[in-house]
Amino acid sequence: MLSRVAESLYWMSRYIERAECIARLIAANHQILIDLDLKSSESVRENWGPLITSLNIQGNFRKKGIPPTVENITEYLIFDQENPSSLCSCLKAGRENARAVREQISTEMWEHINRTYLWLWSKGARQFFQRDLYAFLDQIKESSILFDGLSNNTMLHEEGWDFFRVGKFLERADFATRVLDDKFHLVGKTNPLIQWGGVLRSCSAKQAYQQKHLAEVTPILVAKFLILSDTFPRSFLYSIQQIDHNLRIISGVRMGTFSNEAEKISGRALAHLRFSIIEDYWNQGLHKTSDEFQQILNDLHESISETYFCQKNPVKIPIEESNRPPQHQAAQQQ
Amino acid sequence: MATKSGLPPKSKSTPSVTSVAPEAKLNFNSYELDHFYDEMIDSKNKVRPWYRRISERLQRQSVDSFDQRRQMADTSFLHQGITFTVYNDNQGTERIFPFDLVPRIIPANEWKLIEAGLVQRITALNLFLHDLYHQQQIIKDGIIPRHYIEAAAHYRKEFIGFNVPKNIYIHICGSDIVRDGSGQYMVLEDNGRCPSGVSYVLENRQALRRVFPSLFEKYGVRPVEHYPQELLSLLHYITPRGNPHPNIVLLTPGIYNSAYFEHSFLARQMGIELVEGRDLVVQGDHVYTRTTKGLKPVDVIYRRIDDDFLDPTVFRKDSMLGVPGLVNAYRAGNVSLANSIGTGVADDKVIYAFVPKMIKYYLDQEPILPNVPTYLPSIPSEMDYVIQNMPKLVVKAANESGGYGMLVGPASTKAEIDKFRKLVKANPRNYVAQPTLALSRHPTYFDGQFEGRHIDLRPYVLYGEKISIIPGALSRVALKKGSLVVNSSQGGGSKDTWVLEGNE
Repeated sequence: MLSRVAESLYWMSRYIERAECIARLIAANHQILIDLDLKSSESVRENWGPLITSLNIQGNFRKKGIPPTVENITEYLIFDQENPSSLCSCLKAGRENARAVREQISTEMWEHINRTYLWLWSKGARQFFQRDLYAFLDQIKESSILFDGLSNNTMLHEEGWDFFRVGKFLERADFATRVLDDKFHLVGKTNPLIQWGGVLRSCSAKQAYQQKHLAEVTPILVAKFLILSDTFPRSFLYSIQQIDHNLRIISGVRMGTFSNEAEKISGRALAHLRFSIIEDYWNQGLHKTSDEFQQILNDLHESISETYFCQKNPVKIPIEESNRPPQHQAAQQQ
Repeated sequence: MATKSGLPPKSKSTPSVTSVAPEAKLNFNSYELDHFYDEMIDSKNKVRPWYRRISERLQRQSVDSFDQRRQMADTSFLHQGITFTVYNDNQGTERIFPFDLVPRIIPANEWKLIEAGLVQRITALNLFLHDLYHQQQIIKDGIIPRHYIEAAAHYRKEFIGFNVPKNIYIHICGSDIVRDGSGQYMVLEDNGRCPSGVSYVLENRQALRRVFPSLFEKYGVRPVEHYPQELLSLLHYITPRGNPHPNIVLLTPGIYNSAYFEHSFLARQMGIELVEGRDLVVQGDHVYTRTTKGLKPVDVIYRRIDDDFLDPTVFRKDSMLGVPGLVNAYRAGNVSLANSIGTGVADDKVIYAFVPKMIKYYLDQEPILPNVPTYLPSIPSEMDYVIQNMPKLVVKAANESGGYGMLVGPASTKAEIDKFRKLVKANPRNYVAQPTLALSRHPTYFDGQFEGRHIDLRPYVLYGEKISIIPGALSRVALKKGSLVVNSSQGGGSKDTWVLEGNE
């Protein structure tokens, strides 16, 4: 597959997943405000400040010279075109990438992403947002999940699909670390139930968590669930496991060995997670843990780029091999 | 998407005249011919036989239901992303190419003539290009003056003596055909470089079939859907050294090009890879794609980039779209290009004027489809005529397209005409002039009723192992009342074009 195509599929998937994560984050933080009945600017700062930090957007507010009120932050996260991670920007970038690989993805995938984009940039979406924020955010989340389902069911499960999955789970893992970092400072503060309930909700993890740990919501259990669960599809470990799996399908290298830097990093990270208990992370602090995880994800991205997207010294594929029809075609011909 | 809020309602065109009740049936009662040749209705106000059933079917429709179908078609184009971007608007608004639901119909006997005319024409053009890039017999025999060739913007002298694969220069041609006041079909120009628009032929058909299936019933409309297969087998045919499993790619300038939708559409339909210049690399006179597994050899490139931008080491140095070294790989015979390099010389409107002579010279035949009479101001006697009669003429720059660099005399101010007189006198070789044609018109839907609008016809000719023309075409329509310019960049729209099995 063309390197550029692989890269676009990877980014398309990342941006759509990112939009979903941002929508979750906004919804959960609004919910917390309501649950805690917080109105004062002090509590708003306390609750939304870390969010701003974890998304690295404080500078933008200073530059714009506008106060980081709930309304302004929400506006910034959803509609601001100068914010490269706003919902509008994510959908735009996701769609641009989809357009660049239009002939590689299914019509269903393309039309869905195109319609979502056209809708989000329309007046109707703005009115819907003003009328019912939660329903609006739900729509974004559902749209992303529908896109995932459409992709799963209409796209060839070949190399492109694996890059799609790698992008998706990298973004998801990234989100998991940011959420933990965001709420870490709250440990020991007021009303952990509501706060940490909010964390779980932002990952759509409330029910899944309860099935595992009943109604007992403690910070360390929440952290354990979001980092180390190997069955919850939004946990850090689960995401790394998927990335490792898909990277190996791409290269054909079996588990436990590696053929490039990316596989080495994912394999090592996975082993580390599997052979750890939550206290190993908890005792060093979630902030530090989150930073370490971020570093792993950055390294992964870099090495995937170097291995597949912009190789410095690409090798020539022998003519006989490059002209051999792909397996599924050969199967049809027999 | 489960849009509870709903997608934005597509703004319905509000009728300027509110006299048409929505439940009223469509009719042709107030339709005016205005002395033009009308495709549907003859000068005695009778519906031509091949339009009879369609006109009945349209008149059974209420204004309301017709409007709904229009809206469905527009929405479907928008959702499919069959759009072009309006750049002068910082929102980057995307618009669809306006689509008129009333199909243009060509009966079998007329199509036979068009087909024969185009086959004759592309045969002659290919013989001409071969001659031009080899013996230049046509110049030596005094049929075309050498200085016209030498001054043609897209003439590639450096390719003289080069043998293109299978001796085919123009593989894909999109000639523009118009009809004059008498209904005579004539060729207005040949597009032998990278003609675009064929995706609309296929998409318009699909859209009309979806929103208005009843129109097609038992009409015997010939299918057009096999175009991508025909194109693919053509590209197979020109593979260097007959490689049985060639790697064929489509080279696009990228997603910001106005025809990007078409590039991606054709690549998808043919199942080949769509590549940008940066995806290709040349090593040792071989072209490769950069893939996740390394470099993969390329055999055939259907390029949708003009010669000028193909290879910065040979043509325009500032081209970011091309591939350094591509031309050497092509010359070495390791990769084939469609269309070949240097075909643009035949698109020069001065050279166009000589096509009837080429047909006579190479084939010893009379042209089946005539040219539009063309004056060359570079010939002194014709210069006088052009200067004196400019208010009646259409003047075109020899190497522009897309409706740019042209003057429609009758629709222009004295100042504009004077400006063109100066331009023509200053550089006579760079201009041609043609009588302003009374282009044929076609009923087109506006606000609850039909009005006549000028149209043209662009069929697509494929030259591979054999010459084939899909029975269909792009019919462009000048939506502005009275306008003769059909280009999409100048407010044109399009219609589905039906070629019939029979004559009605």
